[in-house]
Amino acid sequence: MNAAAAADHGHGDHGHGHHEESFASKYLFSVDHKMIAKQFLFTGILLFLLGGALAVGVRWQLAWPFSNVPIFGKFSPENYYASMTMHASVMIFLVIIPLLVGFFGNWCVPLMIGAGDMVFPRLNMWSYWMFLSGAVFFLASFLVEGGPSGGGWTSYPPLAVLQQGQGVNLWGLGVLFTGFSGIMGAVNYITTILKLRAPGMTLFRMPLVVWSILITSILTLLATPVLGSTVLMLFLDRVAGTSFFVPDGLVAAGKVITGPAAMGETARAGGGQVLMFQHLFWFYSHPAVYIMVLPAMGIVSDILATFARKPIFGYKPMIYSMSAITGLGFVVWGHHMFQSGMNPYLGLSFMVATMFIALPSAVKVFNWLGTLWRGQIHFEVPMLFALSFVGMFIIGGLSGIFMAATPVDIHIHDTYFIVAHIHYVVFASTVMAIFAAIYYWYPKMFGRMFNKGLGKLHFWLTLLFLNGTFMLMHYVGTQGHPRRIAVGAWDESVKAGYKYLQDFHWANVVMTVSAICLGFAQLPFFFNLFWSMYRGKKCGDNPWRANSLEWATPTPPPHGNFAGPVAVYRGPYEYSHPDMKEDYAPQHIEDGTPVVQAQIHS
Amino acid sequence: MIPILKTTLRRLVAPLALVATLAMPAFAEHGFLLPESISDNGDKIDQLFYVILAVTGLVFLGTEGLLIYFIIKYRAREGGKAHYTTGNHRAELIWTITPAAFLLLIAVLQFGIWQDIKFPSRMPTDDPDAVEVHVLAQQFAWKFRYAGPDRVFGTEDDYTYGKLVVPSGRPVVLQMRSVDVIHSLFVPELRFKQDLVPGLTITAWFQAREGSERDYEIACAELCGASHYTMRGEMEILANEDWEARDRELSAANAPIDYALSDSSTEIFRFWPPSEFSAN
Repeated sequence: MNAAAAADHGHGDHGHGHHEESFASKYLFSVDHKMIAKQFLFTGILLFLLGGALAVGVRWQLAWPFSNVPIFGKFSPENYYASMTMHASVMIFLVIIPLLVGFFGNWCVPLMIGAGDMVFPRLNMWSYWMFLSGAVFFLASFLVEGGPSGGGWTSYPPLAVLQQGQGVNLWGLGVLFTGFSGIMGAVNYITTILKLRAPGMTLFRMPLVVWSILITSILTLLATPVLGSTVLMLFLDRVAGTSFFVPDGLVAAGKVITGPAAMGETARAGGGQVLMFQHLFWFYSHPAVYIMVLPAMGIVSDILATFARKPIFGYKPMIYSMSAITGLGFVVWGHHMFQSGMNPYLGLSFMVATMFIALPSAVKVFNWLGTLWRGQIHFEVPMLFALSFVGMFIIGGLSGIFMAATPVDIHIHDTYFIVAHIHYVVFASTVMAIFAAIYYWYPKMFGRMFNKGLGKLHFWLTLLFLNGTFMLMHYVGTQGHPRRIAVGAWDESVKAGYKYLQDFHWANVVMTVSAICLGFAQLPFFFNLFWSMYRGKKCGDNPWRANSLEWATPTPPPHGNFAGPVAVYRGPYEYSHPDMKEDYAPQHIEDGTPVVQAQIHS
Repeated sequence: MIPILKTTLRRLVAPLALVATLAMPAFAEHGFLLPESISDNGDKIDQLFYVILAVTGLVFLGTEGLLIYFIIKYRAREGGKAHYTTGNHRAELIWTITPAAFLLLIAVLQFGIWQDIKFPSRMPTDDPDAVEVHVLAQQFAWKFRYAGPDRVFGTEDDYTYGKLVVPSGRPVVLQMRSVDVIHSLFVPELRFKQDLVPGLTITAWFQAREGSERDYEIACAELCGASHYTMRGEMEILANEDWEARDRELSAANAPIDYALSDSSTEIFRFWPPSEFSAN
């Protein structure tokens, strides 16, 4: 519980700043949480490029079916389904979760609670290497015969069991290893947050980022093992001839291949339950949606408070609502299965639970609005992204209510409406929060300020084109455009698609053009990220005049983080207190006057 | 806090409500957001859709409006200082209880519709007027088995046809199976969607309105393999007398179903023999 002890933890007798490390131990096998965070950051950003490229391939096919995709060439249906599956898998398992939890968790948690490092630095290193192994499995599937899995990121059996090739096997291993990485990270975050807080850092003085990581880690720890074992069962069904999810009486090439009737000819016993997989899969994958949004909510809360120069409105209600999302998040998985053949009586109870999970999200939105109310809003780049998070999250949240309504879901289930919903939550909200966070902590991470003009350009282009891409999906969705079809409107040349969609083909073209522009809109970001690392203006320790502890460290923070022992005297959101001269009061300054801080570090 | 919130809301509510009310019939009439609906169940679903659209639309305009209003009004000014507040208990209560009430309302509104459509106890399976059709999905085609003019499955006049042909104005009960992977039968105009799960026989129903007689498309809504996008099916709705004539015609024209499970048969419905369904 003591920062000095914490600072000693994990790097023993290393002196600060004087110790020369080899390249491998500094950059590859680092046990320093900040370096591991950067490993997650750069791997995640690299894979974000891959996931984005796959998305453009998918969009290209939908606008101009079976035409030449730039660079790649003509898509086959297999290429299309592999791109679609891998786009989702890469973005979820290799980009969003690792960036939110692996990167921000690692970067923020020790710095914000006043610890020298994570409590288990070596486990932390392993968590990155497990993640990288998972990524290698996913990527390897592009190289094997038959290509990557084309069974969708949900990998529903029997399709995922019956698919030929190694694609689904490698997909399963990838999920399993990234899952291990997540569990390792979760154990580390929970223990670190509970055990290594600086003196005075009570639980209710922690920034909401730290709360969100704590709550997310509990969610990860409880849900991920279920996904791991489910994927393992699927893997065994594929490679070991088990029948967890393979029912009796499947027919292939005019013959029954599973069940007692088929024994003797094949080794498939059958007798498995198809719907069981969906229950187990969504028991993890619904909470996973919250794993993908809770840290983003924490990040946005901190950034809104900093740039509105106001305390967060309703700090405790924010924590309680995150906890409520977590609790309810475990009893709503069935809303993915309303049309699956699941007992319709069960559907009603899942519907009611789902309706009520909208409530804590609504409370959070109102509290964010309350935070802005009568503030002094500074439109710095991180703030622009955080504000757009609130605006976009409202859309993603409200569209969820349509699908939670079981009868309406009959029509819009498995259409583009759900694709719009997930992208408003995961791209328009979470990815925008990730950008906000990268810009917000950039000066602390690299000691230099990014180019603000490029940052604003990146923001406006992204906001424009993400809406151009995802807004119309609601529209084609309610018109009945199914998701996961390689051809939308009826196309005479390939004799596929649906005639009822012919009037809406223009929308597919608009979305695709917009998606391509959205891709190009990321160029200023990549340029800014690398250029400013070397050429950006040098900045002080606390350029945003923020309160939380990470800004009390030297810039960039050295191994061990803090220059000396830190203690905490107040909550993280004491902005614009009427009794204070300055409009902020860093958590570690006893009398609340930030001038003292300048003396400490000069 | 509260008075300002109140006046802001009061200023916003009236114009928003007006816009929503004016826009609603336009949506409903021209099928701007939803395709044409050809069943009573579909109409009920659409009504619920528009109720949710109205509620969420108001919340959307209200919250986004407030967000933009605050962004403009409270932008940083030289020498300005933010108002110090850490929250308000009453505000939290108001914005917890109000949405809770709306969510509860939406939840309660849909119970009846869902029960009428999906609960086995409410399905018209025993309705003497109902037409029963067996649906068998396989990669990448839909097959339909009809009982023929005698209305009894497992008899000589049963026949298989690649198109769903049903009468209007009568309930149609579908018994649905898949022989390989999960498929999903989706007819947008009927607001009908149901997965077909290997290992299960799933019952579902719909009733097309009289006057809706024409051809429709059946989409497969669940990824079922690399040719999933080609799994387009056709449905034809006929007036009752026309349908009965067509039923007799098709029964006479098609060979009886080979229920003997002989390996040489290409008849896919041999995998769904009479021992696995009760004669009706």
